[in-house]
Amino acid sequence: MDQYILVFTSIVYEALPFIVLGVILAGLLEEFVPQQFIAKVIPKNRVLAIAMGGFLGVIFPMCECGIIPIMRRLLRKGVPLSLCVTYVLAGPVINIVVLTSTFAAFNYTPTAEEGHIFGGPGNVVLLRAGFAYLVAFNVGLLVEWLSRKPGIELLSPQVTRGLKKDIKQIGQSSPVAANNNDDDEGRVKKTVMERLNNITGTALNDFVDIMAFLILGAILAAIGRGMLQGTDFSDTVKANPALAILIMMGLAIAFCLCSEADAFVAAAFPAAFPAASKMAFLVLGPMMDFKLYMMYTRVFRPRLIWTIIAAVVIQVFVYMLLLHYLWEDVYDFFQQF
Amino acid sequence: MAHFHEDSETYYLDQLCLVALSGAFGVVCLTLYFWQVPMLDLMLGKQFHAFVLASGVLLLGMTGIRAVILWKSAGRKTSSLPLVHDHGHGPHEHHDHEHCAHDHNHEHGHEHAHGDHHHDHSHGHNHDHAHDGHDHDWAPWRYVVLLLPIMLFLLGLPNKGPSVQAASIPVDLTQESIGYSTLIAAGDPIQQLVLATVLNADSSALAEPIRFLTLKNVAGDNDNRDDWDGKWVTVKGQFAPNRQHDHQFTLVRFKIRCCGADAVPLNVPMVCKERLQGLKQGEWVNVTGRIRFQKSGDSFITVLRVPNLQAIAPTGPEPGFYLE
Repeated sequence: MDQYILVFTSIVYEALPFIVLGVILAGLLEEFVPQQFIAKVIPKNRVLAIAMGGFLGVIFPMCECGIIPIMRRLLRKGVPLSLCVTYVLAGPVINIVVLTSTFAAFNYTPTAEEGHIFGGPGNVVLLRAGFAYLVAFNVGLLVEWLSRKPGIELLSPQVTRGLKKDIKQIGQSSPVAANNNDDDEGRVKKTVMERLNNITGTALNDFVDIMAFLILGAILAAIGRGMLQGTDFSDTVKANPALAILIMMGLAIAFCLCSEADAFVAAAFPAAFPAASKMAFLVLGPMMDFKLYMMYTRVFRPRLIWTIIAAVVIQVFVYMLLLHYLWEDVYDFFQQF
Repeated sequence: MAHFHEDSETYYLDQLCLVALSGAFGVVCLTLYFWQVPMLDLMLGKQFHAFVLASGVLLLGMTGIRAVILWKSAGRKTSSLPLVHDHGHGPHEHHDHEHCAHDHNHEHGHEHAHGDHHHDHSHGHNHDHAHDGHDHDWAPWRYVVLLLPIMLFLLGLPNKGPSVQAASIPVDLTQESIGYSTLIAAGDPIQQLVLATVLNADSSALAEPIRFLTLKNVAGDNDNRDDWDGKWVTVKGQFAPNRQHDHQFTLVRFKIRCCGADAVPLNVPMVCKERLQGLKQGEWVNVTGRIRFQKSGDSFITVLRVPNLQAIAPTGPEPGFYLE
């Protein structure tokens, strides 16, 4: 029981500061950032916008927990859903903090039998960032295609509540979605107290909303960790890379680790686990785990959540399998140059 | 007519719970940072402590502002009552309204039938709450869930680190066997006496303290390994018995990056000349012994050779708990 409680409380109190930061930013975004500004900044070309979304984490580095409340506000401001989804998936990986910690985690003195995985920590970083971007970009394209289909609602009522225009337009194909809390033209100047009221009201409501689901996710993570503790998969995975990849993907979902720390955990896995399975752990973990799933329910409808999950999981598995079988050839090819 | 949000009762109750719980989290964060540091050390790496402090301050700040705004809003609600209806009578005191077809209990929503009254509902709506994108439905289950970490904190949990698992790192006892075989084979009593003295030499009094990480990593230091070989040291860690050998055990420390959930155990195997007894799994101990190195594949691992049970002394946990 002590172990469960430790894992549960660790996850909650580690995520809490980032959620507080996220909801405050979300409140400020709601109050001060006009929808017209968003419309100006986002490229009209949707593919370009999705491509841009994958790199937003470099400019706005945030833990995956803190991104959720920000994304809710961005969606209400008219940011395309596909761009938001790409940011949510890629942002927790493609940022300077996570990539630095990934480098540090794999920058160890290798044993003679194992050697550096993927030829060194620099390659690990490049592969992690590259695959995360590829997965996020493709999921963004898929979400964009889905959002153009008529009659399909993708966003949770918690996101669209209170918006006057047709909610089907929100975050979907139209580049500028309606957000009627943003009637900037002719708006009466607000007092400081009114602004504070709106910011704190938004922030605290988001805080409670998201924390409740984070806590539920942390409970699942603690139970999952407790069940897996002491289980040694080394013998199981030795001769079966596909199974190894699947096991590591399952562990990534169950462990619910922060993206800054998961590289150290992955690096500590026994050498019996193929390098590609460790990469699967690194790519999938920040995109999908129990706590993220619970928080996604506050933004997306189940159809979209499961679409994202399926797209991410299938892509990660296929890419890692290809990585396992093709890496040596590709690496040798590039070594020639 | 000034009236309030339709579900004003649940709205204020909802906001009250929101303020109370957010404030509670703020208080918990500040208490953890200032007064419950060991508990915070168990949960988070030191680099996150400042974030917890900042969260506490921000949460308390926001809840304070929100509480003041709600207080004023509730005050306005009270002072704006009684309602002014267009019956032709003025401020709403509770005079006789039998002729009215509706209920004039304005404490709760607008459930009354209006009959032939026409209430003007075009009001300058000074909403004291932000509608934006959050749910005004009454969902008390969220508050029950949020109570869980707060209740755990009040119970003083967590109060233990990660559980220590019994480890079975095979230790090569060949060196000692060779030594004792040589002793037995030596025919000369003087030779035997010298050999016995060397084999059983206990220079533990000269042991110097060593950091656990240094002890663990010195095996990989090709340049200095010979300098460390045979040195007497004292190191602190958690006791983990070896289930297969009652003379062997492992000293464990945990290393974290961010939080207790990513804690990774580091083990140094140890061999004691006496049978291990009276020690509990996970107990903090100071161990004095002699450093030896053992081949493990292509590399070396550190093994500590402990002369007797007295060299394993129970002690308190390390401040900060985790290795840095």
